[in-house]
Amino acid sequence: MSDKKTLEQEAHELLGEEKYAEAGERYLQAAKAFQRQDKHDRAAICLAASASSRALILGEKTYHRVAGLYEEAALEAEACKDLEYASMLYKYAAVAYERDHDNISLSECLFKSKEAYRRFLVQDLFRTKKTKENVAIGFNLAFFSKRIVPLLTLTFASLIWGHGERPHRTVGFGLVLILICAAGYMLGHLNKDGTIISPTFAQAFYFSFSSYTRVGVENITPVGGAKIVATIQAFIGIFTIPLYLTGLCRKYLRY
Amino acid sequence: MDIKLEKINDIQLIVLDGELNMESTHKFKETFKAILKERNAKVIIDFAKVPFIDSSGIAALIEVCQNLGKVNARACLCHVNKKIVNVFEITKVHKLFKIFESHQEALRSF
Repeated sequence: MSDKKTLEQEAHELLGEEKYAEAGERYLQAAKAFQRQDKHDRAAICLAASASSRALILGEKTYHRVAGLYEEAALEAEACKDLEYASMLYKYAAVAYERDHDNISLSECLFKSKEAYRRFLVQDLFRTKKTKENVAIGFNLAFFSKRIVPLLTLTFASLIWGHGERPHRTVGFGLVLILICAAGYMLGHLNKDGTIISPTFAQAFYFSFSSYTRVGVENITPVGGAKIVATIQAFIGIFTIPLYLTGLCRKYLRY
Repeated sequence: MDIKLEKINDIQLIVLDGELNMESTHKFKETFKAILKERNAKVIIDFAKVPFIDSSGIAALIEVCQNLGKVNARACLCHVNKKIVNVFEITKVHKLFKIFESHQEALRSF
């Protein structure tokens, strides 16, 4: 144990002397020793320190190693369920990849950072002990705004476009919504050329697709409850289609 | 490591004296057991006499702060020397803690 303590202390002293490469190496040695002992929390901290030390080396030509170390540190933090720390480390890894113009890894790390934070909020939600004060108040505004709102936002962002890094999810989301709404239209009625019909799957799918994309079909219109479904579907379509294009352009422009 | 507990009104002040390392983390975590039973506790951890912190100390500090958060308690650090702030920054944990220059600043934050 004293060995590891010495390595960390040595690294701190080397940092003070601005010997960043040597300090990074000492931290890395300590991290590897902790990894062998399955001490993931300490390994994550030492790997992050090693990455930061290397990032301080003047005139460093590549940040790939730095980014890789931050990513490894984030994985260790995930292994010991410290998801808030993991989220931060993934973000630092993403910044290092960006400096190295490695956009695929940048995108991956940004996605993992957001996902880790989302999982941290879920974990936090279920682990928070209920206090008498919470129960007495019934609805805690601070709790709602600090935890529930970010959790819902991140979950929705993950589902709908993978936090901007998975635009194909928007297509999947759209298809699922079109199918669900088509099933809804099949349960009700549509007006086709002035005649009220119970639509077939093909007719319902066609109408659902045109409502979602807001192309509009002149000879088929919703009737009764179908009007509500069509309105909600069109409203979601207004936001999700531009979201897909934004996600796609964002990815395309990076490469 | 010596750990002293003081009360300033309803705020718990924890004064650490010595290195926060592998040998002292157990005692450090034990100190918080009673505080974790209180609801909505307010805690200031004084680092004025802590010359060094290693990865086990940082891991213990993260764990304690997370546990305090689970019982709606609030914690902050004060009088953290530059060397330790550098360690927090190099390990990228500085954003996980609220760090203040003095007791007064920490007290005002509650």
